[in-house]
Amino acid sequence: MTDGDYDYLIKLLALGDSGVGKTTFLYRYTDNKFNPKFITTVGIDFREKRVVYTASNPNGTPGGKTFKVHLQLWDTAGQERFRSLTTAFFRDAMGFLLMFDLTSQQSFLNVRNWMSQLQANAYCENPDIVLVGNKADLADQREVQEKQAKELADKYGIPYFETSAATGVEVDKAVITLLDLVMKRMEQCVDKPPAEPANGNGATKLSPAQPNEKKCAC
Amino acid sequence: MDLSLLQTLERQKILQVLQRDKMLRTIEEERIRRMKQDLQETRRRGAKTFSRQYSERTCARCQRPLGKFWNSGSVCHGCSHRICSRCRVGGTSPATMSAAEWRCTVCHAYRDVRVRSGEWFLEERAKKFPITTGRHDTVGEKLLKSYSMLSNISIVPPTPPPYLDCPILSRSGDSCLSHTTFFTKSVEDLMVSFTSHIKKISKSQNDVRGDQAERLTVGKSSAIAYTTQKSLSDTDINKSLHLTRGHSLSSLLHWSKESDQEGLSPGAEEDLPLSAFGTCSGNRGSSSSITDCGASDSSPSVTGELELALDYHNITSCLQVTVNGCRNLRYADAKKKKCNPYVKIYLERDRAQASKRKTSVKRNTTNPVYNEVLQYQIERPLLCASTLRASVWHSSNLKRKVFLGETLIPLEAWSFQETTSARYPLCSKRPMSPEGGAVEQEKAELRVRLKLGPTCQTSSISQTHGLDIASHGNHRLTVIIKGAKNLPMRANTSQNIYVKGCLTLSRGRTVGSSSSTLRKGSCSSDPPQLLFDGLSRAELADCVLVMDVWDHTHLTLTDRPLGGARLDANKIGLPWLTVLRTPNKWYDFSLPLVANFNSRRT
Ligand SMILES: Nc1nc2c(ncn2[C@@H]2O[C@H](COP(=O)(O)OP(=O)(O)OP(=O)(O)O)[C@@H](O)[C@H]2O)c(=O)[nH]1
Ligand SMILES: [Mg+2]
Ligand SMILES: [Zn+2]
Ligand SMILES: [Zn+2]
Repeated sequence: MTDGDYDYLIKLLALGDSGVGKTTFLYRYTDNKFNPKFITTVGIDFREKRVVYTASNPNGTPGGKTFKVHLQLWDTAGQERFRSLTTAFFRDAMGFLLMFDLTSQQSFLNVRNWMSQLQANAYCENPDIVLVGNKADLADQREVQEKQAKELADKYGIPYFETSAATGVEVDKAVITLLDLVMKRMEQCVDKPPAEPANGNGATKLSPAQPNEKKCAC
Repeated sequence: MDLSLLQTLERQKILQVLQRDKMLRTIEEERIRRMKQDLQETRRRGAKTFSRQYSERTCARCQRPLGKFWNSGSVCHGCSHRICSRCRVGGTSPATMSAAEWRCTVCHAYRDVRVRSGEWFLEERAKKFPITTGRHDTVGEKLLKSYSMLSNISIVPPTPPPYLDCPILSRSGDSCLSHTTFFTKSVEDLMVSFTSHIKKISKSQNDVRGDQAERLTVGKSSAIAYTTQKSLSDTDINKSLHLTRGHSLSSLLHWSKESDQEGLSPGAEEDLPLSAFGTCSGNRGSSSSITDCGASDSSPSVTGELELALDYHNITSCLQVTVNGCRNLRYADAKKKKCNPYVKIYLERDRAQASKRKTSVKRNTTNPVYNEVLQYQIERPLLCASTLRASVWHSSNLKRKVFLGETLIPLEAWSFQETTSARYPLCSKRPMSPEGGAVEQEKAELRVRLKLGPTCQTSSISQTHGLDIASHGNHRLTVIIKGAKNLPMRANTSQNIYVKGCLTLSRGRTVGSSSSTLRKGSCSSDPPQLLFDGLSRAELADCVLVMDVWDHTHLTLTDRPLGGARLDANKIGLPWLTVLRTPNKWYDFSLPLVANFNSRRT
């Protein structure tokens, strides 16, 4: 399906406990279909989708330039035994869909752990992340309240969406929001005056890590 | 259920995913390569040229005159040049054109490529995970390489999964025990050992490279005869030696262990600047620094790169040096984070003032962008004998200049073809060498095997430029790249070294050819080679073959030049005549590699 006729290759990655619906969610996003069967993901996988991205104008109005974006959506296994493999792939992704299952309190509690995994392994200390509570269609089995999840997302300063891979609700919106964050980050990164040399200088590298306020510098 | 079988299938599945990822990456790399080319074209078209007297009163991009009041131009925030209103991009409406939103055409194109190629991402990530290998491999890529290296399993999806252990056993007779146990480990175990490795990979230069070592035999010799000045401290030489040491295939099979050891060896990596070329002193001014302009070399290690493009116009005898910019310079004053860099170049044949050219000074940046063209009027034979010395200096108000690094580009072996830009790592100061280059110090070598034979009908690898093949001859020159020795240290970690050849024939006709990468697995039947077709013997009598070694760095904007060799029929004399006289016989040549120069990109 791929040819080089696109303007950006954006790599996003879905993570979260096993069974929260990462694979199903991405399948809904790329193919607009639902698979009720649970086939746990082995290690890693990815799906692709070509989208047209419309940049918003500096003053906030839509209708800026349009770009062809090729999305590579990495799907990771939630199972513990693949952990070292999947976290290794974190560093190649530009943005993250952190997913939990609205019908599983445990999967929500684990969001915290996933966040620290991201901090350690993603390309920078504060990458772009969207928190996704999935299986919103199973209202009667819900264990996580919207308020609860929203509070957590606010604490991290990231957007929150309640989606359903079964009905498709909010699925596109969650992905596009993340894409938008990454596209904005990208612009900021090249426009900010370059920081001090990042690599290359052994001396700086070996000195104790700078305090966290340094962040990703963008 | 058979667990080991499941694990095989699991691994198979993962490898298939990685294979798909690789295809996507290949497309991406090609897209980036095209983008780079376009960028270079834009730069060349819109670069400030200093041939005419520099004047504030012309637009830096289109060179149109600017008025005092009317269309007076304003300063680009990217490059600080004065730009007319026509050469600006961005800014929402003409009314806001005066705001800081716009860039000049060149700065805009540069910025655009940095965004679109994903360079922004690699740079951000390098802040958190510094790279010392000079490469930006993705995890998938590394994993795939380590697998395809360790096993011979075909991982192209349509192929039915071959059974696990057989190919491995059949491939390597002796130490099979160790890999069988290695392979019967479950997939997760492999991942664990792999990922624990990834953490090191960013630090160690140990990409899997056994096969490359076999083919390239990167600097096995432990005795570097350095005859010239003591421009290098012994430790520095040891260091580069250490780093260019080849790895045997057997050592590769224990690579996790080995790389640990390597990490421990003193000075192996920590204090080597990313930029260090094979011979540049890794730190401090242990080199006998002959400084000018009151430069103090007691400062910390030199870092960073200088991006240049060379271009020679035969008709006008004009050498154009496009100074694109620098990256990751060190601060002239680390405490105050001060750095106002400018680039100065000399043609070293005559170090008279006349050959000095300077760019403008950029304020408060360690990543200056210049996009300026510096020109020399010089006859080609003279140029051949010259070395271009490009140095970066910090300019301060106190009239004291601080040296930030330099690079020497011997032009002797330059093929004089049109160029795209290349990044040259900056080094500490090197005294002028009598040879006009660093050849003697490095003893880098390219080993080739030549044969002249009849043109093979089926080949379509070589491209001829200009005239039709048929009108020339029916000979083919085959050049097998046997290996390279003592490449700049960065090269030994690369798996993407390739050679570009340019054959200039007696009537001025040139033929180009590119080799495959020199890293291919030992099972591959085709050694990297250059092919030149449609040659006549008369043309070959005094031909010049220039071969450039390149490191194809993934996902960065420019490939890195590692050196070049020149095989000049007039200079080689007898051996060359024998090649011509006895077709279909192989002849071996060891050619000195001159560091740092550049050739046409195909
Ligand atoms: N009703 C409902 N079921 C869902 C939804 N999303 C996923 N599922 C189901 O949840 C189960 C698990 O989904 P997967 O997508 O395979 O889970 P995963 O997160 O990829 O799990 P791992 O691959 O093991 O990490 C499947 O049976 C899905 O059909 C949803 O939005 N609504
Ligand atoms: Mg899954
Ligand atoms: Zn102009
Ligand atoms: Zn500019």
